[in-house]
Amino acid sequence: MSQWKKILYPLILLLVALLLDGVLTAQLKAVFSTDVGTIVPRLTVLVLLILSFYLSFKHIIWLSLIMGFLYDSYYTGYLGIYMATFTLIAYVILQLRSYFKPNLLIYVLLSVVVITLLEFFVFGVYRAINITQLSMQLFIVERLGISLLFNGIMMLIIGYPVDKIGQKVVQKEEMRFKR
Amino acid sequence: MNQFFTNKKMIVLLVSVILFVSLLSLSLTQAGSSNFVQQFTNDITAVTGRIFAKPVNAVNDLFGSIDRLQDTFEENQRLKKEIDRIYETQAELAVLRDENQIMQEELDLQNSLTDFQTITGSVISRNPDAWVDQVTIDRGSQDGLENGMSVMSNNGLIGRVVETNPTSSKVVLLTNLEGSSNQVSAEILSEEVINGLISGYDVETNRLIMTQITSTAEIAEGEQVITSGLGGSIPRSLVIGTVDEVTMDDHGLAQRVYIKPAADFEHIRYVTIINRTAESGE
Repeated sequence: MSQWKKILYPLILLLVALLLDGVLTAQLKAVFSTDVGTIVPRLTVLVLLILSFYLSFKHIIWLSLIMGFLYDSYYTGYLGIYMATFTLIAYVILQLRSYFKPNLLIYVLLSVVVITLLEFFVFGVYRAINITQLSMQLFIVERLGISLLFNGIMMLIIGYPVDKIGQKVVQKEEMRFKR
Repeated sequence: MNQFFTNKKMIVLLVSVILFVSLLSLSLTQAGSSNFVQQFTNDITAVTGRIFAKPVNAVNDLFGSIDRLQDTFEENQRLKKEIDRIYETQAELAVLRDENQIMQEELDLQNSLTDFQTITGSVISRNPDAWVDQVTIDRGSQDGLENGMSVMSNNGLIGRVVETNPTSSKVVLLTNLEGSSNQVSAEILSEEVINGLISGYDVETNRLIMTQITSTAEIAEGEQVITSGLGGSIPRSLVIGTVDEVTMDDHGLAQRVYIKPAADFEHIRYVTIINRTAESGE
């Protein structure tokens, strides 16, 4: 696999996930606001999680910064929130990846950890800058639980194909599972 | 631990935290006026986003029309009755409009608060984390959009434009009315004109909250609520919803009215942007 494909594939994958997040929310808002809470699709995070297992340190950190900026700028206009969280997530996975072999079960389990981290961070920031007045208990009940369930299921669906692409990208990379 | 937090890592962490906080506060202070870099990236993303929004929209439209086909008969019966009434109102409207125009000419009125032009657009995407309920639409400053214009969907007011890029823009919905910057001046079409402010949204019952209404005003359930055109760049006579419940506020000094919105905030796919002809005078 040539050099430019190694740059392009993860970028396109993340971009598609990012756009799908928005399109899904716009079209299926009625489905997503269920009786037990609001579902937040996090496809971008799921793809980022899988790619963090395969790409080199520098590559994934740059990618998560760019994607974070896009996410912030495109969806809310409050810069920095997702830039910080995406980079944090990539960093955490980079630390963990020498202990885990990438497979679907690990992805699903890690997605629960990572999305919990992300939701708490984002909620914390929005609480701090006074955009939401939701209490911690209500947040856990109305947002976190159902979102974790939904994104876990999404991971089961997209995990395998994205993992295959990740493997393809890494084939020529010498730095596999090393930092 | 000392290996995990070496000196270099500590510095990187510190610098990134400082960068994060300053970037966030910078974008908070100048909300609405996005810079060139942001406008560029938003537009590029929005153009790509359309590629996804179009087919999904088409599929959704198809299923929607199949869905509607099932209760066409009932709807037809109901509409026939409604049409009979509409003939009468139409005649009345025509007479009133003529009369209004003659009177306006008499008074030499150039622009009234009810005059506006419309621009239609469709929704590309919606903010996935519902903390800030915003949608991105495929119309921008090139189509004549400006910050602060009000946006309608399914015959009801849904929000206002907060950020315009050349070919796309963001609309903040009435469902996140927590900041004071997003209030809408409204009036209840009762026997007398009752003015107030739409200043909140009740998430649990999906109703808008209207406050600052004099306690002596008599409001009946089912009365229509429209924009009053008294503040900002929102014209008069845009439908907001109907009165659902009338209560007193926490201090018992003013009335608080719960409004059932005319627009469905969960099915926003096509929007109409309202451009008021009269100057806002701001």
